[in-house]
Amino acid sequence: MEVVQLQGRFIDFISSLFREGFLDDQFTQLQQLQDESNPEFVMEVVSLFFEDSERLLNELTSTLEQQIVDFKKVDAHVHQLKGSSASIGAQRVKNVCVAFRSFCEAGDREGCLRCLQQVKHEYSLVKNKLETVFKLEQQIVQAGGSIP
Amino acid sequence: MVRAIAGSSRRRRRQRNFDSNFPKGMRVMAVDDDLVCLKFLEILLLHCGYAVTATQYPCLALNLLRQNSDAYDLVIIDVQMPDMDGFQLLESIVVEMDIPVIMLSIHGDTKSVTKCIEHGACDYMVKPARFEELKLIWKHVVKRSMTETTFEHPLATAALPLGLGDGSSQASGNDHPDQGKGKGNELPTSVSDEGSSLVKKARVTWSSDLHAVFVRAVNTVGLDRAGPKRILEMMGVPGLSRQNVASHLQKYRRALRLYGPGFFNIVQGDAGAGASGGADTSGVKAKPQRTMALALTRPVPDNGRSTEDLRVAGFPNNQTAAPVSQTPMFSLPMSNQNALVQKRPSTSLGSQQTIRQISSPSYPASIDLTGPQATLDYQNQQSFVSALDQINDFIRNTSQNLLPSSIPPVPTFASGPSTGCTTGFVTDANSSLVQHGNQQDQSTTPPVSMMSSKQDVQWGSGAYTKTGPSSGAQNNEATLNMDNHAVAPLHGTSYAESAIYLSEPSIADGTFLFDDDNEGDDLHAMLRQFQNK
Repeated sequence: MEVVQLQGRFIDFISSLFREGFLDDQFTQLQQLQDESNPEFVMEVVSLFFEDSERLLNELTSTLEQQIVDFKKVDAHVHQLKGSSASIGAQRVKNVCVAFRSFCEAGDREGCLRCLQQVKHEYSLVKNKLETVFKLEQQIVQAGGSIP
Repeated sequence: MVRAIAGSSRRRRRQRNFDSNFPKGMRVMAVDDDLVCLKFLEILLLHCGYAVTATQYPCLALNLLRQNSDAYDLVIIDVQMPDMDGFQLLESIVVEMDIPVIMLSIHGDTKSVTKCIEHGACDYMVKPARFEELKLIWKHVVKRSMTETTFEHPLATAALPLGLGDGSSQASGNDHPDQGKGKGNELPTSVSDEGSSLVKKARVTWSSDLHAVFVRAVNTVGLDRAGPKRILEMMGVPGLSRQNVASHLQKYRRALRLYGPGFFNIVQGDAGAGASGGADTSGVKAKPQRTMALALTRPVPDNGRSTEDLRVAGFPNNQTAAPVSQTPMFSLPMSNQNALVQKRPSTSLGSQQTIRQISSPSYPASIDLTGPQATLDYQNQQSFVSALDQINDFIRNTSQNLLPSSIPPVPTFASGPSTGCTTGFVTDANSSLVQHGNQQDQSTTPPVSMMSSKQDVQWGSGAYTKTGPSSGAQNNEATLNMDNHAVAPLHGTSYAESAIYLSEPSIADGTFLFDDDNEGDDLHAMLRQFQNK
């Protein structure tokens, strides 16, 4: 496929992500921070985010499975997840975290479990989307073009 | 004479602060347990042109700051951290080091912001940090330097004997010669430091008399209810500020907590008053005063690193120390990369940044030690460094000053942080040091090479690149793994590698080692006075 076409696809895809609320301005900032001295910056940070989130989601699952739920621990994890998703601009994940925290404060286990499901869902969605973004970037570069 | 020195040094410092490049190159420390946020913050700060030191570990950050508070102009801290409360760290920095601190948090509500400001933060930012905001954080540094240059301790200009340039308390009728000279020496060396930070506030010297007045006031008010303002009023010492009292009170409380009420008696020479509440292990109690006493009575020669001296000046053969293999030395929060990343802004396009990347070992449920011997080797390294640093610090603070002042502050930490900041490993190392003389003999050579190789590792440009770390760095990463380290042979090279591990020691550790407190260390100076008597 031609470089121009690939670039077009890339732009369309990214725009849709913004439109659908998967990503927000923060992601744009990330992209702007990527330059010659940090060529892989976005990918690095996003990979860190994936690692971190998966760990947090596992912890959340096991904590909420306990007989007696330690809501403080849950809150701490959600807090961290909210922070990191906000840092990379994963808007929908962040929004679910906000709701999640209010259930934590209320000590509502059912609510927390529902939120956990939702967070996992949103996370896997945004992960998919971002991986597609990186793949498109790679294709452009391989075709000899530059990322718009 | 005194006035002239003080004045000129202040002027010199002011000029140095704001060179033509400022705010580029301003030295910022960033602390956040969340790696994603930390990395993001770091890259933003680099884009602003600052020199960034980023760490996930608050205890490590605090120790770095304590070791060399001149090395940083500004600190940014995340409010919510598991190992140490952000507020706690904030207060420590504000009181001890007087560096501007910016708090960073997810929450932007009024209550959180107010709390931060009340605890002494100079600014507050909501995560994720914005580039436009970070571009202006240097204003706090400027502001701080302005308030400091206009501030003049009322006693600073009094004619004082022995060149106490930075002021001394009025109540101290007995200025000790050692202390005076030490202070005098401090002034020129700190001025000649490259990249020294802003003008420091005039220090109050807490002489034994002044401290006695302080203690009387505290006991009258009641230690639990004692607040700096109240104590200040009770003391009735003119020229003393609330800030001075607050700082001293904090140190006093900490000393009591760690070493118990018998501490000050012990220092005055009472034997056997080793009972202390709140110490972690029995070994911990015994260590400090003996170390201090021995170090003081024995003039440490120039090379100061001979095994002989260290063994004597070091650690009592502490039978009560917890057995080595049972102590959980490390409990690490996460298995991610980048325990500490230190970067400089890139000066030219395409140039790789100097990065020291250390991957943190994975969280061990239990420490898998391959053998007590190996572990002891490892611990020997740590405690050896600790002892070395103690002696360095002590020497630097006295008139003897035999060791060259160019010795960089050596991180006394072992690899791997410990949550909750336990001091267990130091104790164990103490006992093992004495018992395993052979190991120590091997360890005589490393310090020098450790220093130099540490230097290379840390500052050599191009030694580490982001994408492809040099073999040196890779060795470091590999050996940082707990298992590897436990079996690492006690060679010079392994010392070099272990030297750059900036893990997370305990807060108690820092106090423990009577850190190089550039602030003229009131409490500790007072202790030295007791020793000198």
